[in-house]
Amino acid sequence: MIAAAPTAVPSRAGRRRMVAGALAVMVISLVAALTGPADLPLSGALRELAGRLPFIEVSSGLTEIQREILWSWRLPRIALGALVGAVLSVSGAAYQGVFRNPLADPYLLGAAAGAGVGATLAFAAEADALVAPAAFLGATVAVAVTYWLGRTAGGRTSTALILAGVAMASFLTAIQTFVLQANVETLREVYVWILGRLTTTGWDEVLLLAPYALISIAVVLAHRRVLDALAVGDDEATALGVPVARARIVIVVFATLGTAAAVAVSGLIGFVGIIVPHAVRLLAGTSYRVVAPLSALFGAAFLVAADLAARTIISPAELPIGVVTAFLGAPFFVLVLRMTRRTA
Amino acid sequence: MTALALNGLSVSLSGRPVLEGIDLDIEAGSWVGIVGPNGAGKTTLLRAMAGAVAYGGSVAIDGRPAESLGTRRRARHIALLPQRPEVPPGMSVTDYVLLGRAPHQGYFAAESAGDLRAVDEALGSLELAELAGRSLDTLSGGELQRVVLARALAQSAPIMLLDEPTTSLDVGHQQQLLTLVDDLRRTCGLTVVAAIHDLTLAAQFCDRLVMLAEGRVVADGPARDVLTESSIRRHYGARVRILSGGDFGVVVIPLRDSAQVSERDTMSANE
Repeated sequence: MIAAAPTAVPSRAGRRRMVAGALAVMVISLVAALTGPADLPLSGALRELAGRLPFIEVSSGLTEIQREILWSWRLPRIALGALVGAVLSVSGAAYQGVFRNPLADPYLLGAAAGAGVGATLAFAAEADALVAPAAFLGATVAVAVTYWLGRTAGGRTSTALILAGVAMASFLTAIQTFVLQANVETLREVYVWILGRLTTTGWDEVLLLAPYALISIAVVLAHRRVLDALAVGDDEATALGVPVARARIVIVVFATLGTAAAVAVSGLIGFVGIIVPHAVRLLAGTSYRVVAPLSALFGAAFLVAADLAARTIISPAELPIGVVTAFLGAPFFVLVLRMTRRTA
Repeated sequence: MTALALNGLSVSLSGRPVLEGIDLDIEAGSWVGIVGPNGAGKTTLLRAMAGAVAYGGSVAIDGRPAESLGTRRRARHIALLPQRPEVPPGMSVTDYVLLGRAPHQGYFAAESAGDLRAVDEALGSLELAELAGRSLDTLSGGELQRVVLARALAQSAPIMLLDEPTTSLDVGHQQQLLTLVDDLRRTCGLTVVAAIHDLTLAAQFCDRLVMLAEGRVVADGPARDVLTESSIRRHYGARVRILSGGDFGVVVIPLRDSAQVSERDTMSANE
C-alpha cells in the first residue's frame, strides 16, 4: 500500500507480531472484564480466572454477585466480541484477497442484505427466537444466489460477481423495506438489530457462533498462501500450482459461513472487515501469511475495545456497537481510498 | 531424453481456434525458441504447456501425461514467466519470490527451511539479495524482470517457460537476462522454452526455433533453416535481409520499404 512493505519471511518478526496481537487481545479483554457499572478488583478477577485452570486451587475473594457478573455477563460478552471481530476481520481479508479488491468487505456479495431480510421477516412474524437462524439463512442464500448469478451472467470474472452482489443487495433491501412498511411496529427492533449489538444471555450465543467462526477462520488461514498467489492473477496462480476456481469457491463459502453466523448472533456490525485487515497491512505488510492470522487477533481486540466503548461512553445506556465501529471506520475508509489512489 | 512432448495440442479461446494440431518434442536441457508474428498463438502455447488454459490433445512431462498430475504437481515440473507479470502493490520482493514455493507447501505447515533456502538461493544467484526487502512497485523494469525470474527459479521446476522475457528491456538488459537464463540452464540443467520477439536474439540464444503462424507450426529446426527471407516475408509480411556468419550467428535485418524511403528522400530534398 505505502512505501516498502516489511518483508515477512524471517518468521521471528512474524512471530513477534503474533505475540503482540495475542497480548493485545488479553489486555483489552481484561480491561473490559473489570470495567462496568459494578467494579471488579483486578487481583480478585485474576485469581478467579486462574482458579478455573486445571490443578490450580485459589480463593478469589470475589462475592457471589461479582462472580456472577464476571462469568455470566462480562466474559461471555467479551468472548462473543472477540469471536465476531476475529471472524469478520478474517472474512474481510479473505474477500479482499479473493476479489483482489481492497474495498471488499464480508458483506460484498449480499450477506448483510440477505441477513437483514431474514431478520426483518422473523421480527415481523414476532418469532424473536428465529431471528438468528433466519438471518443466517438469509445471508447464506443471498450469497449463493449472487454467486450463481455472477457465474451464469459473467463467466469467471470477479467484476460480474461484484455487480451481481450490488444488484442482489438492492433487490433484498427493497424487499426488506416493503416488509418494514407493512409491519411498522417492528421498525425499532429491526433498526436496533441492523446497528449491531453484542448482548448475550450467558454463553448461548458464544457456543452457537464458535464452531462456525473457528472453522471459517481455520479454512481461511490454511489458504493464506493461496490468497497471496491469487494476487498475481488467475493465470499465474494456476502456473504456481493453485487450482484457482476451486480455491476461490472454498474461500468464499467458508468466509461467508463465518460471516453469516456472526451476523446471526450480533446483527450488522459494519467496517470491521475493512478497517482491521487494512490496519494490519499498514503495520505488517501485504502477505496473507501475516495478514490473515493478525487480522484474527487484531479483529478480536478491536471489537472487544469497541464494545467496551459502546457500553461505557453513555453509561448506563449503551451505544449500538455499529455506531462505534462506523464512527472509527468511515474516516479510515477514506484514508485507505486515498492511499489506494496514490499508489494506483 | 524428451522433457516435454505435445501431441495434437489444440486450443480454442471463446470459440475461436488459436492453436491446431501442434506436435512438438522438446529435449531435456535444450533451449527452444518460439517465434512467429503477433497473434500466432505463442503465448497460448506456453499457457497450455503450463496448464493455465484448457486444451485438446495431450502434454507429456518426462513421458507422463501432464493432465494426470493435477495443478499443484504440474507446477513442480513447469514454471511460467508471463509476458506482463501482475505486480501486486506493496508486496515485497521476498514475499513475491516465496510465491514460487507455493506448489511445494502444504496448507497448514509453516515455510520449511528448504523453502527459505530456495528463496535465498534464487535471490543470491540473480544478485537480488539487496532488493529483498523492497516493495515490487519501487523496482525498475530490469530489476522487476529479474525478480520474476527469481520467482520461477525458486519454483525449482526443471522446465521453464518464458513469455517474451525481454519485451520491456533495453538491449543491454536483454543480453544480460538471456545470458543469465542460459547460465542457469547449464548449471541447473533446466529445459527452457521461450517466446521471443527479437529474431536475432532468438537465433543467438536458442538451440532450436519453432515458428508458429495462424496456430500451426510452419517451421522447426536450427535458426538458419527457420529464419529465411522467404519464411519471414510469408508469415510476418516483412522484408528482411538475413546475414549469417561464423562469429555472429544469424542476424535478421529489417529493410525499409523502398517506396517509403524514396518518398522521404524526395521530401527532405524539397525542404
